[in-house]
Amino acid sequence: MLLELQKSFQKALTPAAGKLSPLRMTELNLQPHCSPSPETAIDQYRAHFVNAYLAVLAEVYTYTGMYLGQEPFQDLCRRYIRWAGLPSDEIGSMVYGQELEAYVRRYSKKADPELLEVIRLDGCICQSFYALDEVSVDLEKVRVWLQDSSSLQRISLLSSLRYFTTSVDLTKYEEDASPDLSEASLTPDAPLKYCVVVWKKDYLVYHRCLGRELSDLLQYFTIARTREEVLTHYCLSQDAAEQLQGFLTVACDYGWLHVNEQAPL
Amino acid sequence: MDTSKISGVGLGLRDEFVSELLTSIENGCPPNRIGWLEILADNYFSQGGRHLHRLASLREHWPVVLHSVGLNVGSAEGPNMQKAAQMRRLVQEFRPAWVSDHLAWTGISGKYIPDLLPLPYTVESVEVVAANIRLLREYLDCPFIIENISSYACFQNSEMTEVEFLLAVVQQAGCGILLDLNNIYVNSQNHGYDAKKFLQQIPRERVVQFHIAGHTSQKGFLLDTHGAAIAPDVWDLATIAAQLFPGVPVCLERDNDIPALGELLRESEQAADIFYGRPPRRVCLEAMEDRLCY
Repeated sequence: MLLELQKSFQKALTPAAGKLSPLRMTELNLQPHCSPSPETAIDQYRAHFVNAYLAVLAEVYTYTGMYLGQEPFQDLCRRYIRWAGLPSDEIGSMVYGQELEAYVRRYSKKADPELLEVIRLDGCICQSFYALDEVSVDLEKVRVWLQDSSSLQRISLLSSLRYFTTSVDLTKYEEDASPDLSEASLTPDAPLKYCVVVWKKDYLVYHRCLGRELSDLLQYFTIARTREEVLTHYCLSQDAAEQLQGFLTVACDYGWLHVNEQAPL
Repeated sequence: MDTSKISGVGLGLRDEFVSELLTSIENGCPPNRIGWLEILADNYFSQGGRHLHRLASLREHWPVVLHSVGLNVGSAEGPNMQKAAQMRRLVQEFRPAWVSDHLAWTGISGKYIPDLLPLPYTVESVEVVAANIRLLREYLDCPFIIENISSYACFQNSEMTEVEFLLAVVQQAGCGILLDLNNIYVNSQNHGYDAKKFLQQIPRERVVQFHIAGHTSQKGFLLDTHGAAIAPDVWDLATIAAQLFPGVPVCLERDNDIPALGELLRESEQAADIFYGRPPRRVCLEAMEDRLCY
Protein backbone atom coordinates (compact mmCIF):
# COMPACT_ATOMS: atom_id res chain seq x y z
CA MET A 1 0.00 0.00 0.00
CA LEU A 2 2.71 2.48 1.03
CA LEU A 3 4.95 1.39 -1.82
CA GLU A 4 2.18 1.91 -4.40
CA LEU A 5 1.40 5.32 -2.95
CA GLN A 6 5.04 6.36 -3.09
CA LYS A 7 5.35 5.17 -6.68
CA SER A 8 2.29 7.21 -7.69
CA PHE A 9 3.52 10.27 -5.80
CA GLN A 10 6.98 10.06 -7.37
CA LYS A 11 5.51 9.68 -10.84
CA ALA A 12 3.38 12.76 -10.26
CA LEU A 13 6.42 14.82 -9.31
CA THR A 14 8.37 14.02 -12.46
CA PRO A 15 8.57 17.31 -14.37
CA ALA A 16 7.47 15.65 -17.61
CA ALA A 17 4.24 14.48 -15.97
CA GLY A 18 2.71 17.91 -16.55
CA LYS A 19 -0.72 18.74 -15.17
CA LEU A 20 -2.22 15.69 -13.52
CA SER A 21 -5.51 14.25 -14.63
CA PRO A 22 -8.29 13.79 -12.03
CA LEU A 23 -7.60 10.03 -12.14
CA ARG A 24 -3.92 10.52 -11.34
CA MET A 25 -4.81 12.90 -8.54
CA THR A 26 -7.13 10.24 -7.10
CA GLU A 27 -4.28 7.73 -7.08
CA LEU A 28 -2.33 10.03 -4.79
CA ASN A 29 -5.05 9.69 -2.16
CA LEU A 30 -4.67 13.31 -1.03
CA GLN A 31 -7.26 15.02 1.11
CA PRO A 32 -9.16 17.40 -1.15
CA HIS A 33 -9.90 20.05 1.45
CA CYS A 34 -6.59 20.94 3.00
CA SER A 35 -4.19 23.83 2.69
CA PRO A 36 -2.51 23.95 0.28
CA SER A 37 -4.81 22.17 -2.17
CA PRO A 38 -3.58 18.84 -3.61
CA GLU A 39 -2.83 20.49 -6.96
CA THR A 40 -0.86 23.28 -5.28
CA ALA A 41 0.95 20.75 -3.12
CA ILE A 42 2.12 18.77 -6.13
CA ASP A 43 3.14 22.00 -7.88
CA GLN A 44 5.04 23.02 -4.77
CA TYR A 45 6.93 19.75 -4.43
CA ARG A 46 7.71 19.75 -8.14
CA ALA A 47 8.92 23.35 -8.07
CA HIS A 48 11.15 22.56 -5.12
CA PHE A 49 12.67 19.62 -6.95
CA VAL A 50 13.31 21.67 -10.09
CA ASN A 51 14.75 24.63 -8.15
CA ALA A 52 17.06 22.35 -6.19
CA TYR A 53 18.52 20.93 -9.39
CA LEU A 54 18.69 24.35 -11.05
CA ALA A 55 20.82 25.44 -8.11
CA VAL A 56 23.10 22.42 -8.48
CA LEU A 57 23.50 22.99 -12.22
CA ALA A 58 24.27 26.68 -11.69
CA GLU A 59 26.93 25.75 -9.15
CA VAL A 60 28.56 23.03 -11.22
CA TYR A 61 28.28 24.57 -14.71
CA THR A 62 29.70 27.99 -13.98
CA TYR A 63 31.65 28.43 -17.24
CA THR A 64 28.64 27.22 -19.20
CA GLY A 65 26.52 29.85 -17.46
CA MET A 66 29.07 32.53 -18.28
CA TYR A 67 29.28 31.37 -21.89
CA LEU A 68 25.54 31.30 -22.51
CA GLY A 69 24.39 34.12 -20.28
CA GLN A 70 21.89 33.75 -17.46
CA GLU A 71 18.59 33.44 -19.33
CA PRO A 72 19.68 30.96 -22.03
CA PHE A 73 21.54 28.95 -19.37
CA GLN A 74 18.44 28.76 -17.16
CA ASP A 75 16.40 27.73 -20.17
CA LEU A 76 18.90 24.98 -21.04
CA CYS A 77 18.88 23.75 -17.44
CA ARG A 78 15.09 23.62 -17.28
CA ARG A 79 14.92 21.65 -20.50
CA TYR A 80 17.63 19.31 -19.25
CA ILE A 81 15.87 18.69 -15.94
CA ARG A 82 12.66 17.92 -17.77
CA TRP A 83 14.51 15.53 -20.09
CA ALA A 84 16.63 13.85 -17.44
CA GLY A 85 13.76 13.27 -15.03
CA LEU A 86 14.61 12.01 -11.61
CA PRO A 87 18.25 11.02 -11.19
CA SER A 88 19.26 7.70 -9.70
CA ASP A 89 19.84 7.72 -5.97
CA GLU A 90 23.47 6.83 -6.69
CA ILE A 91 23.99 10.23 -8.28
CA GLY A 92 21.96 12.22 -5.78
CA SER A 93 22.44 15.95 -5.97
CA MET A 94 26.13 16.58 -5.69
CA VAL A 95 27.19 15.77 -9.23
CA TYR A 96 23.78 16.10 -10.88
CA GLY A 97 23.94 17.06 -14.56
CA GLN A 98 26.67 14.75 -15.80
CA GLU A 99 24.58 14.03 -18.91
CA LEU A 100 24.18 17.69 -19.86
CA GLU A 101 26.76 17.43 -22.64
CA ALA A 102 25.07 14.32 -24.04
CA TYR A 103 21.70 16.08 -23.86
CA VAL A 104 22.93 19.13 -25.82
CA ARG A 105 24.71 16.91 -28.33
CA ARG A 106 21.61 14.85 -28.89
CA TYR A 107 18.89 17.47 -28.94
CA SER A 108 20.51 20.55 -30.44
CA LYS A 109 20.18 20.43 -34.19
CA LYS A 110 23.41 22.33 -34.62
CA ALA A 111 25.18 22.08 -31.32
CA ASP A 112 27.68 24.87 -30.72
CA PRO A 113 31.09 23.08 -30.45
CA GLU A 114 32.39 25.58 -27.91
CA LEU A 115 29.31 25.11 -25.73
CA LEU A 116 29.83 21.35 -25.71
CA GLU A 117 33.46 21.71 -24.67
CA VAL A 118 32.70 24.28 -21.97
CA ILE A 119 30.09 21.90 -20.55
CA ARG A 120 32.69 19.14 -20.61
CA LEU A 121 35.21 21.38 -18.84
CA ASP A 122 32.69 22.21 -16.10
CA GLY A 123 31.85 18.52 -15.67
CA CYS A 124 35.54 17.61 -15.30
CA ILE A 125 36.09 20.38 -12.75
CA CYS A 126 33.19 19.06 -10.66
CA GLN A 127 34.46 15.47 -10.82
CA SER A 128 37.96 16.56 -9.89
CA PHE A 129 36.73 18.66 -6.97
CA TYR A 130 34.90 15.75 -5.34
CA ALA A 131 37.53 13.10 -6.16
CA LEU A 132 39.72 11.46 -3.59
CA ASP A 133 42.39 13.72 -2.10
CA GLU A 134 45.65 11.89 -2.75
CA VAL A 135 49.16 12.92 -1.87
CA SER A 136 51.08 13.83 -4.99
CA VAL A 137 54.71 12.85 -5.37
CA ASP A 138 57.56 15.36 -5.73
CA LEU A 139 60.38 15.12 -8.23
CA GLU A 140 62.98 14.08 -5.66
CA LYS A 141 60.88 11.08 -4.67
CA VAL A 142 60.48 10.14 -8.31
CA ARG A 143 64.26 10.23 -8.73
CA VAL A 144 64.74 8.03 -5.67
CA TRP A 145 62.08 5.65 -6.96
CA LEU A 146 63.78 5.41 -10.36
CA GLN A 147 67.05 4.48 -8.68
CA ASP A 148 65.52 1.88 -6.39
CA SER A 149 65.74 -1.36 -8.33
CA SER A 150 63.87 -3.24 -5.61
CA SER A 151 60.79 -0.98 -5.78
CA LEU A 152 57.50 -2.63 -6.68
CA GLN A 153 55.61 0.64 -6.68
CA ARG A 154 54.00 2.16 -9.72
CA ILE A 155 53.57 5.78 -10.73
CA SER A 156 50.35 7.12 -12.22
CA LEU A 157 48.10 10.13 -12.55
CA LEU A 158 46.09 11.21 -9.52
CA SER A 159 42.54 9.91 -9.61
CA SER A 160 41.31 13.52 -9.39
CA LEU A 161 43.01 14.41 -12.69
CA ARG A 162 40.84 14.59 -15.79
CA TYR A 163 41.83 15.39 -19.36
CA PHE A 164 40.23 15.53 -22.77
CA THR A 165 41.24 16.53 -26.24
CA THR A 166 39.31 19.10 -28.20
CA SER A 167 39.59 21.20 -31.29
CA VAL A 168 38.13 24.18 -29.44
CA ASP A 169 40.49 26.69 -27.90
CA LEU A 170 39.57 26.83 -24.21
CA THR A 171 42.65 28.79 -23.13
CA LYS A 172 40.52 31.92 -22.62
CA TYR A 173 38.83 30.19 -19.69
CA GLU A 174 42.15 29.76 -17.91
CA GLU A 175 42.21 33.28 -16.56
CA ASP A 176 42.28 33.21 -12.77
CA ALA A 177 41.74 29.46 -12.91
CA SER A 178 45.30 28.21 -13.10
CA PRO A 179 48.45 28.76 -11.11
CA ASP A 180 51.14 30.68 -12.93
CA LEU A 181 52.41 28.12 -15.41
CA SER A 182 55.11 29.93 -17.29
CA GLU A 183 56.87 26.96 -18.86
CA ALA A 184 56.93 27.21 -22.61
CA SER A 185 56.22 23.50 -22.84
CA LEU A 186 52.76 24.07 -21.44
CA THR A 187 51.71 26.21 -24.34
CA PRO A 188 49.65 24.30 -26.89
CA ASP A 189 51.71 23.80 -30.01
CA ALA A 190 49.03 22.35 -32.23
CA PRO A 191 46.28 24.92 -32.48
CA LEU A 192 43.91 22.49 -34.17
CA LYS A 193 43.94 20.09 -31.25
CA TYR A 194 44.13 20.94 -27.61
CA CYS A 195 44.48 18.71 -24.58
CA VAL A 196 42.73 20.18 -21.57
CA VAL A 197 43.91 18.90 -18.21
CA VAL A 198 41.94 19.46 -15.01
CA TRP A 199 43.58 18.70 -11.69
CA LYS A 200 43.30 19.31 -7.99
CA LYS A 201 46.14 20.60 -5.86
CA ASP A 202 45.83 21.59 -2.23
CA TYR A 203 42.04 21.15 -2.52
CA LEU A 204 41.74 23.68 -5.35
CA VAL A 205 40.92 22.68 -8.94
CA TYR A 206 42.91 24.06 -11.86
CA HIS A 207 42.72 23.56 -15.61
CA ARG A 208 45.05 24.20 -18.48
CA CYS A 209 45.53 23.42 -22.16
CA LEU A 210 48.65 21.34 -22.85
CA GLY A 211 51.01 21.00 -25.77
CA ARG A 212 51.10 17.72 -27.71
CA GLU A 213 54.25 16.31 -26.11
CA LEU A 214 52.94 16.81 -22.60
CA SER A 215 49.52 15.47 -23.47
CA ASP A 216 51.05 12.31 -25.00
CA LEU A 217 52.98 11.67 -21.80
CA LEU A 218 49.92 12.48 -19.72
CA GLN A 219 48.09 9.71 -21.56
CA TYR A 220 51.11 7.40 -21.07
CA PHE A 221 50.73 7.73 -17.30
CA THR A 222 47.00 7.02 -17.37
CA ILE A 223 48.14 3.45 -16.80
CA ALA A 224 50.13 2.97 -13.61
CA ARG A 225 53.74 2.51 -14.77
CA THR A 226 56.45 0.41 -13.21
CA ARG A 227 59.96 1.70 -12.74
CA GLU A 228 61.15 -0.57 -15.55
CA GLU A 229 58.56 0.80 -17.97
CA VAL A 230 59.53 4.39 -17.23
CA LEU A 231 63.24 3.62 -17.62
CA THR A 232 62.54 1.85 -20.92
CA HIS A 233 60.74 4.97 -22.12
CA TYR A 234 63.80 7.01 -21.13
CA CYS A 235 66.00 4.82 -23.28
CA LEU A 236 63.92 5.16 -26.44
CA SER A 237 65.86 8.20 -27.66
CA GLN A 238 67.49 11.37 -26.46
CA ASP A 239 64.34 13.32 -27.35
CA ALA A 240 62.12 10.88 -25.48
CA ALA A 241 64.32 11.14 -22.40
CA GLU A 242 64.25 14.94 -22.48
CA GLN A 243 60.49 15.02 -22.99
CA LEU A 244 59.94 12.61 -20.14
CA GLN A 245 62.24 14.60 -17.89
CA GLY A 246 60.35 17.77 -18.80
CA PHE A 247 57.02 16.12 -18.19
CA LEU A 248 58.03 14.73 -14.80
CA THR A 249 59.27 18.15 -13.74
CA VAL A 250 56.00 19.84 -14.68
CA ALA A 251 53.81 17.00 -13.44
CA CYS A 252 55.49 16.85 -10.06
CA ASP A 253 55.47 20.62 -9.76
CA TYR A 254 51.72 20.76 -10.30
CA GLY A 255 50.89 17.62 -8.40
CA TRP A 256 49.61 15.38 -11.19
CA LEU A 257 51.33 12.14 -10.14
CA HIS A 258 51.32 9.83 -7.23
CA VAL A 259 53.10 6.61 -6.35
CA ASN A 260 50.89 3.67 -5.57
CA GLU A 261 51.80 2.31 -2.20
CA GLN A 262 50.54 -1.16 -2.99
CA ALA A 263 52.63 -3.68 -4.84
CA PRO A 264 51.41 -4.46 -8.36
CA LEU A 265 49.47 -7.62 -9.00
CA MET B 1 29.93 8.57 21.24
CA ASP B 2 30.31 11.51 23.53
CA THR B 3 26.90 13.16 23.65
CA SER B 4 27.75 15.30 26.65
CA LYS B 5 29.48 17.97 24.60
CA ILE B 6 26.32 18.88 22.70
CA SER B 7 24.65 21.51 24.81
CA GLY B 8 23.36 25.03 24.42
CA VAL B 9 22.95 26.66 21.01
CA GLY B 10 24.44 25.07 17.92
CA LEU B 11 24.60 26.27 14.35
CA GLY B 12 23.73 24.44 11.15
CA LEU B 13 27.03 24.67 9.26
CA ARG B 14 26.77 26.19 5.79
CA ASP B 15 29.49 26.89 3.26
CA GLU B 16 28.74 30.60 3.37
CA PHE B 17 30.34 31.10 6.77
CA VAL B 18 32.88 28.28 6.98
CA SER B 19 35.75 30.64 6.11
CA GLU B 20 34.64 33.11 8.77
CA LEU B 21 34.55 30.38 11.41
CA LEU B 22 37.97 29.07 10.41
CA THR B 23 39.42 32.58 10.53
CA SER B 24 37.94 33.10 13.97
CA ILE B 25 39.66 29.93 15.17
CA GLU B 26 42.97 31.03 13.66
CA ASN B 27 42.62 34.38 15.39
CA GLY B 28 41.89 32.69 18.68
CA CYS B 29 38.43 34.21 19.03
CA PRO B 30 35.80 31.72 17.82
CA PRO B 31 32.21 32.82 18.53
CA ASN B 32 31.53 31.62 22.06
CA ARG B 33 27.77 31.62 21.43
CA ILE B 34 28.19 28.59 19.17
CA GLY B 35 28.44 25.53 21.34
CA TRP B 36 28.43 22.91 18.59
CA LEU B 37 27.87 22.44 14.88
CA GLU B 38 25.28 20.48 12.95
CA ILE B 39 26.78 19.18 9.72
CA LEU B 40 24.53 18.63 6.72
CA ALA B 41 26.19 15.31 5.96
CA ASP B 42 24.88 14.97 2.40
CA ASN B 43 27.14 17.86 1.37
CA TYR B 44 30.13 15.79 2.47
CA PHE B 45 29.25 12.51 0.75
CA SER B 46 32.27 12.67 -1.53
CA GLN B 47 35.64 10.96 -1.56
CA GLY B 48 37.52 14.20 -1.14
CA GLY B 49 37.53 17.96 -1.56
CA ARG B 50 38.36 21.12 0.31
CA HIS B 51 35.01 21.08 2.12
CA LEU B 52 35.98 17.82 3.88
CA HIS B 53 39.38 19.19 4.79
CA ARG B 54 37.84 22.36 6.23
CA LEU B 55 35.29 20.35 8.15
CA ALA B 56 38.10 18.41 9.80
CA SER B 57 39.58 21.72 10.97
CA LEU B 58 36.25 22.87 12.41
CA ARG B 59 35.76 19.51 14.11
CA GLU B 60 38.93 20.08 16.10
CA HIS B 61 37.25 23.05 17.73
CA TRP B 62 33.55 22.20 17.94
CA PRO B 63 31.67 19.00 18.74
CA VAL B 64 29.36 17.97 15.93
CA VAL B 65 26.18 16.10 15.09
CA LEU B 66 25.46 14.80 11.58
CA HIS B 67 22.17 15.66 9.90
CA SER B 68 20.94 14.19 6.63
CA VAL B 69 18.19 14.68 4.09
CA GLY B 70 18.95 11.63 1.97
CA LEU B 71 18.90 8.42 3.98
CA ASN B 72 15.33 7.86 2.80
CA VAL B 73 14.07 6.79 6.20
CA GLY B 74 10.45 6.64 5.03
CA SER B 75 10.93 4.50 1.93
CA ALA B 76 8.80 1.37 1.67
CA GLU B 77 11.80 -0.21 -0.06
CA GLY B 78 14.17 0.43 2.83
CA PRO B 79 16.66 3.22 3.47
CA ASN B 80 19.27 4.35 0.99
CA MET B 81 22.16 2.12 2.00
CA GLN B 82 24.60 3.76 -0.43
CA LYS B 83 24.15 7.04 1.37
CA ALA B 84 24.18 5.18 4.68
CA ALA B 85 27.63 3.85 3.73
CA GLN B 86 28.80 7.41 3.08
CA MET B 87 27.28 8.44 6.39
CA ARG B 88 29.06 5.63 8.19
CA ARG B 89 32.36 6.86 6.80
CA LEU B 90 31.62 10.34 8.16
CA VAL B 91 30.55 8.90 11.52
CA GLN B 92 33.84 7.06 11.81
CA GLU B 93 35.84 10.11 10.80
CA PHE B 94 34.06 12.90 12.67
CA ARG B 95 32.62 11.03 15.69
CA PRO B 96 29.29 12.87 15.96
CA ALA B 97 27.20 12.73 19.12
CA TRP B 98 24.31 11.48 17.00
CA VAL B 99 22.95 11.25 13.46
CA SER B 100 19.55 12.58 12.42
CA ASP B 101 17.29 12.46 9.40
CA HIS B 102 13.66 13.23 8.61
CA LEU B 103 10.37 11.47 9.01
CA ALA B 104 10.00 11.50 5.24
CA TRP B 105 10.96 9.67 2.07
CA THR B 106 13.15 10.92 -0.79
CA GLY B 107 12.56 8.57 -3.68
CA ILE B 108 11.56 5.07 -4.66
CA SER B 109 12.70 2.49 -7.24
CA GLY B 110 16.27 3.70 -7.17
CA LYS B 111 15.40 7.34 -7.90
CA TYR B 112 16.31 10.36 -5.81
CA ILE B 113 14.17 13.44 -5.18
CA PRO B 114 15.88 16.31 -3.36
CA ASP B 115 12.91 17.02 -1.12
CA LEU B 116 11.33 15.67 2.04
CA LEU B 117 8.17 13.93 0.88
CA PRO B 118 5.29 13.28 3.27
CA LEU B 119 4.11 9.93 4.55
CA PRO B 120 0.54 8.84 5.25
CA TYR B 121 0.07 8.52 8.99
CA THR B 122 -0.71 4.80 9.00
CA VAL B 123 0.30 1.77 11.01
CA GLU B 124 2.08 0.45 7.93
CA SER B 125 4.15 3.65 7.67
CA VAL B 126 5.05 3.44 11.36
CA GLU B 127 6.31 -0.12 10.90
CA VAL B 128 8.27 0.76 7.75
CA VAL B 129 9.96 3.81 9.27
CA ALA B 130 10.70 2.16 12.60
CA ALA B 131 12.32 -0.82 10.88
CA ASN B 132 14.39 1.52 8.69
CA ILE B 133 15.56 3.52 11.71
CA ARG B 134 16.58 0.37 13.58
CA LEU B 135 18.50 -0.81 10.53
CA LEU B 136 20.28 2.53 10.11
CA ARG B 137 21.15 2.83 13.80
CA GLU B 138 22.71 -0.62 13.82
CA TYR B 139 24.56 -0.04 10.55
CA LEU B 140 25.88 3.38 11.53
CA ASP B 141 26.73 2.25 15.05
CA CYS B 142 25.65 5.66 16.28
CA PRO B 143 22.60 7.07 18.09
CA PHE B 144 19.92 8.04 15.55
CA ILE B 145 17.14 10.58 16.04
CA ILE B 146 14.25 11.48 13.76
CA GLU B 147 12.95 14.94 12.79
CA ASN B 148 9.35 15.99 12.14
CA ILE B 149 8.93 17.67 8.74
CA SER B 150 6.90 20.43 7.16
CA SER B 151 4.38 18.85 4.81
CA TYR B 152 2.12 20.31 2.18
CA ALA B 153 -0.13 17.33 1.57
CA CYS B 154 -2.45 15.26 3.76
CA PHE B 155 -3.39 11.71 2.87
CA GLN B 156 -6.96 10.44 3.06
CA ASN B 157 -5.84 7.07 4.40
CA SER B 158 -4.09 8.51 7.46
CA GLU B 159 -5.13 6.66 10.60
CA MET B 160 -3.69 9.00 13.20
CA THR B 161 -2.61 12.60 13.74
CA GLU B 162 0.86 13.86 12.97
CA VAL B 163 2.00 13.86 16.57
CA GLU B 164 0.54 10.39 17.17
CA PHE B 165 2.44 9.20 14.12
CA LEU B 166 5.70 10.73 15.33
CA LEU B 167 5.32 9.19 18.78
CA ALA B 168 4.40 5.77 17.40
CA VAL B 169 7.53 5.80 15.22
CA VAL B 170 9.94 6.76 17.99
CA GLN B 171 8.28 4.29 20.38
CA GLN B 172 8.58 1.42 17.92
CA ALA B 173 12.06 2.42 16.71
CA GLY B 174 13.32 3.18 20.19
CA CYS B 175 14.86 6.48 19.19
CA GLY B 176 14.83 10.11 20.19
CA ILE B 177 13.27 13.11 18.44
CA LEU B 178 14.80 16.08 16.71
CA LEU B 179 11.91 18.47 17.21
CA ASP B 180 11.73 21.16 14.55
CA LEU B 181 9.69 23.99 16.04
CA ASN B 182 9.31 25.84 12.76
CA ASN B 183 7.97 22.71 11.08
CA ILE B 184 5.40 22.30 13.85
CA TYR B 185 4.35 25.92 13.43
CA VAL B 186 4.16 25.69 9.63
CA ASN B 187 2.09 22.48 9.75
CA SER B 188 -0.17 23.85 12.47
CA GLN B 189 -1.01 26.81 10.25
CA ASN B 190 -1.32 24.81 7.03
CA HIS B 191 -3.20 21.85 8.45
CA GLY B 192 -5.09 23.59 11.22
CA TYR B 193 -3.95 22.21 14.56
CA ASP B 194 -2.78 23.67 17.85
CA ALA B 195 1.02 23.76 17.94
CA LYS B 196 1.13 24.08 21.72
CA LYS B 197 -1.01 20.94 22.16
CA PHE B 198 1.29 19.16 19.73
CA LEU B 199 4.23 19.94 22.00
CA GLN B 200 2.35 18.98 25.15
CA GLN B 201 1.73 15.46 23.86
CA ILE B 202 5.43 14.68 23.47
CA PRO B 203 7.11 12.97 26.42
CA ARG B 204 9.92 15.10 27.76
CA GLU B 205 12.46 12.31 27.70
CA ARG B 206 12.08 11.72 23.95
CA VAL B 207 13.35 15.12 22.79
CA VAL B 208 17.08 15.16 22.09
CA GLN B 209 17.47 18.26 19.95
CA PHE B 210 15.53 21.26 18.62
CA HIS B 211 15.67 22.88 15.24
CA ILE B 212 14.56 26.45 14.85
CA ALA B 213 14.39 28.27 11.51
CA GLY B 214 12.47 30.76 9.41
CA HIS B 215 9.65 30.28 6.93
CA THR B 216 7.88 32.33 4.28
CA SER B 217 4.27 32.85 3.31
CA GLN B 218 3.23 31.77 -0.16
CA LYS B 219 -0.14 31.75 -1.93
CA GLY B 220 -2.14 31.29 1.22
CA PHE B 221 0.06 28.77 2.96
CA LEU B 222 3.34 28.75 4.84
CA LEU B 223 6.48 27.33 3.27
CA ASP B 224 9.42 26.00 5.25
CA THR B 225 12.18 27.76 3.34
CA HIS B 226 14.85 28.26 5.99
CA GLY B 227 15.31 31.49 4.10
CA ALA B 228 14.14 34.17 6.52
CA ALA B 229 14.65 35.31 10.09
CA ILE B 230 12.82 33.26 12.70
CA ALA B 231 9.24 34.53 12.93
CA PRO B 232 7.87 35.98 16.20
CA ASP B 233 5.25 33.22 16.39
CA VAL B 234 7.98 30.60 16.20
CA TRP B 235 9.94 32.36 18.96
CA ASP B 236 6.73 32.21 21.03
CA LEU B 237 6.48 28.48 20.37
CA ALA B 238 10.16 28.18 21.33
CA THR B 239 9.39 29.78 24.68
CA ILE B 240 6.75 27.11 25.35
CA ALA B 241 9.11 24.36 24.17
CA ALA B 242 11.87 25.66 26.45
CA GLN B 243 9.54 25.27 29.43
CA LEU B 244 8.33 21.82 28.42
CA PHE B 245 11.75 20.44 27.48
CA PRO B 246 14.36 22.26 29.56
CA GLY B 247 18.01 21.96 28.68
CA VAL B 248 17.58 20.43 25.23
CA PRO B 249 20.22 21.70 22.76
CA VAL B 250 18.89 23.87 19.94
CA CYS B 251 20.28 24.31 16.43
CA LEU B 252 19.67 27.36 14.24
CA GLU B 253 19.13 26.47 10.59
CA ARG B 254 19.43 28.78 7.61
CA ASP B 255 19.62 27.46 4.04
CA ASN B 256 18.61 30.34 1.79
CA ASP B 257 19.38 34.06 1.80
CA ILE B 258 22.02 33.30 4.38
CA PRO B 259 22.94 36.49 6.23
CA ALA B 260 26.29 37.47 7.69
CA LEU B 261 27.45 35.27 10.53
CA GLY B 262 26.93 38.19 12.92
CA GLU B 263 23.19 38.19 12.26
CA LEU B 264 22.98 34.46 12.88
CA LEU B 265 24.90 34.93 16.11
CA ARG B 266 22.36 37.53 17.22
CA GLU B 267 19.61 34.96 16.63
CA SER B 268 21.65 32.42 18.57
CA GLU B 269 21.82 34.86 21.50
CA GLN B 270 18.04 35.22 21.37
CA ALA B 271 17.75 31.44 21.35
CA ALA B 272 20.13 31.16 24.30
CA ASP B 273 18.03 33.68 26.21
CA ILE B 274 14.83 31.76 25.56
CA PHE B 275 16.09 28.23 26.04
CA TYR B 276 18.68 28.57 28.77
CA GLY B 277 18.83 32.10 30.12
CA ARG B 278 22.34 33.51 30.22
CA PRO B 279 24.79 31.85 30.23
CA PRO B 280 23.49 28.69 28.48
CA ARG B 281 22.73 26.00 30.99
CA ARG B 282 24.60 22.75 30.59
CA VAL B 283 22.37 19.84 29.76
CA CYS B 284 21.89 17.18 32.38
CA LEU B 285 24.26 14.64 30.88
CA GLU B 286 22.62 11.54 32.27
CA ALA B 287 19.25 12.65 30.97
CA MET B 288 20.74 13.17 27.52
CA GLU B 289 22.20 9.68 27.47
CA ASP B 290 18.81 8.25 28.43
CA ARG B 291 17.12 9.99 25.50
CA LEU B 292 19.51 8.47 23.02
CA CYS B 293 19.60 4.92 24.33
CA TYR B 294 16.28 3.20 24.76
